Order: sequence, then structure tokens, then C-alpha cells
Amino acid sequence: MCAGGGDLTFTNEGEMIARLRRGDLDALGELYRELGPAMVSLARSLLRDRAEADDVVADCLIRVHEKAAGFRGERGLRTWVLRIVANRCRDLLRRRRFDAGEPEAHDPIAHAGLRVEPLEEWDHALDQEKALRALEQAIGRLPPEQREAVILRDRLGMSQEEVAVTLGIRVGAVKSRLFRARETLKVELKKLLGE
Amino acid sequence: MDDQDLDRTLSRMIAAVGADAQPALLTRARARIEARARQPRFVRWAMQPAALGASVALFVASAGLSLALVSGAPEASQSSTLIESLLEERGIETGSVLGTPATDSGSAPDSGGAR
Repeated sequence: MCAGGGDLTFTNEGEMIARLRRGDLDALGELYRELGPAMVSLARSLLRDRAEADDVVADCLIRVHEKAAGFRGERGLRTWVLRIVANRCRDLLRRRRFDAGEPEAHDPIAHAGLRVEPLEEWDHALDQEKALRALEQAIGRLPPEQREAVILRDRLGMSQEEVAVTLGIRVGAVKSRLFRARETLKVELKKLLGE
Repeated sequence: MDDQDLDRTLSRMIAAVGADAQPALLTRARARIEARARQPRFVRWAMQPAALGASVALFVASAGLSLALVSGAPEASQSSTLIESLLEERGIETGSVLGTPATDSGSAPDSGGAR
């Protein structure tokens, strides 16, 4: 499962962009139906606070409506919209830097308003939900720049090139962030799997 | 479990968590867009970050203008008091008025007592 629909493309992206540029609110609704799950998953995964993430998504929809007139569509609608969400989350995380942070006792999945899709081919000796919660906590401890790369690549199913465009960085930087993040997460996963 | 299996499991686990789009968020955003559209153009402009920049620029310009006006004004006289400057303006010697000793009658010249 991919929270953001990895193969997501609009049937006629050019027309959709043209409608958004005209300020068509129905087009905004269609965009949300298509990209909403990715927008919400990204915001909730990065901010780990459901209410705050939902405010961000609503703000971003308004921003999309306001900024659409200046959008030329070169980089694709999905990367443009998710870039707006990622930037807004980054701003909030920067402001939050000196906060105490979310207590470890919180269920990271429930607190963020995320849902779990049961995994097939899972060793039933292991509690799947518990393992996913522990992994989610480990993702939450990653540096924000590594966390956003992992979420975009592995949760939303974006290609490394799309992640680079969304984050406004080079593909090499994406690869390096993903490598470091995955190395950290694999150590956690080994512990979870009792190896 | 080898490294490749671990990588695959990790990817599957990360992808297993996600969120659905709540229709309420779109409703909220649309309501705000429509409310903004009903506001007068000036109010809409004033709520933009550009408005803050414009007001700062206006403040700097008016401060600069006042500074220019103040520095361009004729220099104040050297007089130390308001009375001295008023008398100086009328061409009266300050020493002859303020510094005049008391008359023989013992009353000050402006008191009317010497008449």
C-alpha cells in the first residue's frame, strides 16, 4: 500500500492546471480527492500531531488556490503541491525546535492520526501493531531532513527524482539522506525482530 | 534475515502506515477561500505579507522626509531662553532689559512704580 498513491497522475494535468489557474474551486476539490491522502499522510507523518497537520493541509489548499495563477506546471502538480506541504511542515518544525517534543509514551500512530494497513506475509509470532508503533517512533527520532526523504520515498512511493524536486535538493542529497535514515531504521528493525 | 530482506521489510512497514483525506478539510479551505473573496480588495491586500513590507517602506520614507525637513530648517539662535530669543527677534538688547539694575525708586523698570 502506498499512502499517496505512488502511480498517481491526473488524466489531464494540463487542463487541471488551467482550471486551477482560473480559480475553479471544483478543480481544487478534484485535486484534493486525488492528492489529499498524500498531503494528509505527509503532514501527519512529519508533524506527528493530527490537529496541527490538518490545519497545515487546509492552509496548503488555500495556498494552492492563491498561487495556482503563477504555477507553470513544469515540475508536475503532485511535486508542487507536496512541496508546499513539506515547506509549511518544515517551518512549523523549525519553530518547534525548542519544544519538549512528543512524549515517548504516546502511541505515535494514533497521536498523529495515522492508520495502519495490515501487512501480509508477517511472522505472526511478532505483534505487528507493536512493531509498526516502534518503527514509527524511530522515524520520529530521525533528523527532519531524513524523515521527510523517507516519508516521501517509502510512504508516498515517490521516485528519488520526485523527492529531489519536492524537497528542492539534488538527487545525490536524497540518496544520502535515505541511506543514513535507512541505516538507522534497520538497526531499530533488527532490535524489533530480535536479531 | 539478510540485508535485502531487511530493506524490503522496512519499506513495507513504512508504506503500511498512512492517512485518508478528510472531506472536512476541503470544506474548511473552501469556506475560507469564499470568505476571503467577499472581503474588500484593500482588506485582502492588507492581510498579505506584502502589506507589511509596504507599511515598513512607508515608515522609512516618512522618517527620512522628517529628518530632511528638520535638517533643512533655519538654525536655531544661540539664545538660551525663550524670553531672550523673543527679545532678540524684536531687536531689543537683552542686557538692557533683563540686566538693568533697579531704579532709584527701588522698583523694577517694568513694575510701573517709577512713574
